[in-house]
Amino acid sequence: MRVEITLTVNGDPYSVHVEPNRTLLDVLRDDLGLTGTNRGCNQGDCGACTVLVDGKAMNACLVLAPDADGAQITTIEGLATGGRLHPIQQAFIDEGAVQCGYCTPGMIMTAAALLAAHPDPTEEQIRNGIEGNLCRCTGYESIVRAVRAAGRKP
Amino acid sequence: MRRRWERGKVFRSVLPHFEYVRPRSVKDAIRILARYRGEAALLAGGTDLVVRMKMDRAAPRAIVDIKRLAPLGGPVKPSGRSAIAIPPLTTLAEIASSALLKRRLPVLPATALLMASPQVRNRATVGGNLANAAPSADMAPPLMALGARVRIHTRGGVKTIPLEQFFTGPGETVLGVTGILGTITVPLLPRGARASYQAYTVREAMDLSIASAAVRVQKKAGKVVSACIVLGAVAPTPLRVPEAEEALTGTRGTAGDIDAAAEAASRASMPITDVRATEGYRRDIVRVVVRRALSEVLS
Ligand SMILES: Cc1cc2nc3c(=O)[nH]c(=O)nc-3n(C[C@H](O)[C@H](O)[C@H](O)COP(=O)(O)OP(=O)(O)OC[C@H]3O[C@@H](n4cnc5c(N)ncnc54)[C@H](O)[C@@H]3O)c2cc1C
Ligand code: FES
Ligand code: FES
Repeated sequence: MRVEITLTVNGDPYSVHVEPNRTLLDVLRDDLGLTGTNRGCNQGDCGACTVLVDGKAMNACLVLAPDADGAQITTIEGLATGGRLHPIQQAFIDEGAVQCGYCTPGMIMTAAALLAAHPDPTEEQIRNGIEGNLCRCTGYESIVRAVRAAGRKP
Repeated sequence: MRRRWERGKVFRSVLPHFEYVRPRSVKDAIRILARYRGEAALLAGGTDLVVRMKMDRAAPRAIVDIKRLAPLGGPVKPSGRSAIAIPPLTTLAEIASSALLKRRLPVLPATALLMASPQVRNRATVGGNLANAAPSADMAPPLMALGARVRIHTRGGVKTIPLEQFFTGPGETVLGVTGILGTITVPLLPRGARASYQAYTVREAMDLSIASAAVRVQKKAGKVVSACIVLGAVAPTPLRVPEAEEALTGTRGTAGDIDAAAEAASRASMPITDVRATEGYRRDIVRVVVRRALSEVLS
């Protein structure tokens, strides 16, 4: 039986009728067309689906859609404000921290949550902070550099 | 239904159908569990349940979301003067950042930080970790070693039991089909007592333990007067090892005493061989983690 849920995604209110067995990731990608959030492992291991739920980084693939009812969601599509990239997005570009790009949206959302909690994180905080995000391309060095660079900016 | 093969297991990218229920009270939740006769599952953070459903290891007809039930949530706070009460819905992230726990029982925040990833810790609850009853569940050994007691809500009423009596087998607890795990109450460490949890994993992040050990040791006038040693991932349930505790009690806790206790713990463990490690390797690792934990608290 479908249930109605209301979500605020990137500041916009949505009301969606969903089967309870769908995840927040399914709703974002398939119902709202926000395909920036990637589906990797679909079971909590890779972090490609990371979004902010009420300001906290979470794996959208593990959140049942009805469980997200009433939540404020931020996805990669909502990070830029007024046509300007978020500092962490700009830092990923400047440091060349994107290769194939599959991990990038999740990595950036995780980093954005980390920077909100620790505006100038240490290398250790960064490495621990992204432990739930797998990247098969970069070897992580450029990603750590990008987070550090974004941290140093006010 | 789309399926793909994952670690040799059936993997569903679409979950089976179920009814999603939000109970009005703990009593109501118990009634719903009873009505479904074992075919309903409680949902806390879902980081075990949703994954198990995707792995085709669980297919409940109803999911009973307990996250908004006030008696199971709320902040970590003192319980009387000598204990701390941890609501079952407390997330691992909240355990890791609780100022009260960091000050009074720092082994618990340290353990939470070892687990999973920031994203998972933001959802995963301590109650779910215990109720899921994986032999490798990381919160169980330190809570058991600290002498935690757990409240159990049943059809017959509420009772409190030692966590030590909670686990009955892999994935099995005294909760049965209709029980709900309530507040976890953890005594503060008595004077002269210290605690440590050491887990051995192959990877540093996002990995289940091969073996782990939690210890609580109290010293008076240079001698060990009490010890509690609990092993994880090397038996069907978290395993208290009285043999090792006895080996240590009454000693001065020297390197030799620690080795003897570690040896006793290794002998008492009942590990299995699986994809992560063989039985013999696990037994060796038990010795390592017990030695590390005891060395930390006795140094
Ligand atoms: C990527 C990843 C990494 C992980 N790493 C670790 C790790 O390092 N160490 C570790 O120990 N675990 C780990 N886990 C497992 C899991 O995250 C934890 O066990 C978590 O604490 C489970 O809590 P939850 O609230 O998400 O449980 P849920 O999935 O909501 O529930 C788990 C089970 O307990 C039952 N339940 C939940 N709450 C109650 C209650 N109050 N009363 C009765 N029954 C209840 C549910 O019905 C279900 O059967 C990991 C999981 C993932 C996906
Ligand atoms: S897709 Fe969600 S963690 Fe991999
Ligand atoms: S850039 Fe390819 S997975 Fe990270």
